[in-house]
Amino acid sequence: MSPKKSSKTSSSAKDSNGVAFSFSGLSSKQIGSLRAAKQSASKQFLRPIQTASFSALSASTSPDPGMNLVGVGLGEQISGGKNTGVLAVKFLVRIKYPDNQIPPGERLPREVNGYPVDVEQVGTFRRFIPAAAAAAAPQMPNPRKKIRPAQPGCSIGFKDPGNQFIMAGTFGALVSKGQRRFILSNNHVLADENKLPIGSDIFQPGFLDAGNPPNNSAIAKLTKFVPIVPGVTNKVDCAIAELNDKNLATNSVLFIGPPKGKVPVQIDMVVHKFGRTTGFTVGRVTSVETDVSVQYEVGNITFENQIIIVGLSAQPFSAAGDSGSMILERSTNKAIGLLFAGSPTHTIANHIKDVLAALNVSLTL
Amino acid sequence: MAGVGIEKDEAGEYVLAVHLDDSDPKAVKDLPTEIEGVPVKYIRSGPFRKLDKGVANSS
Repeated sequence: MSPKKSSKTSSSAKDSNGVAFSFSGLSSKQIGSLRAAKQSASKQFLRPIQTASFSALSASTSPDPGMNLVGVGLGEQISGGKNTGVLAVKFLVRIKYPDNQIPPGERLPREVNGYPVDVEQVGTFRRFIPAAAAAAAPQMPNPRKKIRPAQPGCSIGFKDPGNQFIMAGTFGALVSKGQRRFILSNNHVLADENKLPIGSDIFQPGFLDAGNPPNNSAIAKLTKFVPIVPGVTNKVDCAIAELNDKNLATNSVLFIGPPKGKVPVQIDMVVHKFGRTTGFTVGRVTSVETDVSVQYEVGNITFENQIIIVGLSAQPFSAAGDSGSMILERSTNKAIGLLFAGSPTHTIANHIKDVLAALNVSLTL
Repeated sequence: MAGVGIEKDEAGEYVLAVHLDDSDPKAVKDLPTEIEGVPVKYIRSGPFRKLDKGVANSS
């Protein structure tokens, strides 16, 4: 049977459980044929994961259908983001990999029983955890409260000298030069876009999160920033603030743990971060050398060769307040970037090697 | 335009990726589908903004 364009007419049929579904423009025979194709694909490819306990947060990423396929269904084929009107067997996958990233033996078929196949990324399906089980599950830390010693991933910020606004960003990583220890974040989080003098106090949490009266305190002093310059091409938005006392912060990223070094980023790498606003999120790298124009208070600033990331599991990877977060490869916990900008759908990060080189510091491991 | 870079298309082939400012819905209409023989993918992703969070101080 060849793929059939849907029309405005519709037929309905019941599945084996007596549940009625409506298919535009298909006869009962055609619906039966389509369902047979779906069942065939489901039986062949949708296999339970063979592990004693499966954790969505720790599951390895692989294009193997046994790990990656989470559902099989029927639906309209979508191409280039547009509905085509062609009915297809739908493979729902945790991560949609490009063809050249999938070993030949692990590729899904292009058609099933004559029907085209549509592969859709949906993330990981999870049960809705009952209250008792949820209570026993690992709790996400609250990055907006006062945390001592402070940890990467938590809220930090400066105090506006004019007292006109309050703000917050994210403590990205603990970095070192010799015996000195510094908080790493963005210029616009620690130095207010080149405006603050060296030696300015850095607070945890940032005043936006500290309440009134503020429950926070200064833990570091602005030490160095790479100026953000309009009208020229920039590479990084970064700054460091030296801790007032080495015991005031650790290198262990909230929920993630300490970084295990750094690694060059690659397209399609799966990454994660913990930030002040969106907490723990997982994403996929879509570009490692994109030139972007970013809106700042001082105007639009151009950056070259930046990392672009999109969120997985239908969630944005970042939002306002996550600036400064360190981004790490998910499978190794090695740092790849420093988050500094984005939109509701895309996140932009500096390469971590560029950041560390510009500030002449090393990750504290 | 919010950005230009190199990405992969759905088939895993490298393409030029042009990130567009979402405030201009007509932007794609007259843009080329390839540049110097390289296919171009248009993505409505911008505008890009720095991602700290600040509000006016009311206290």
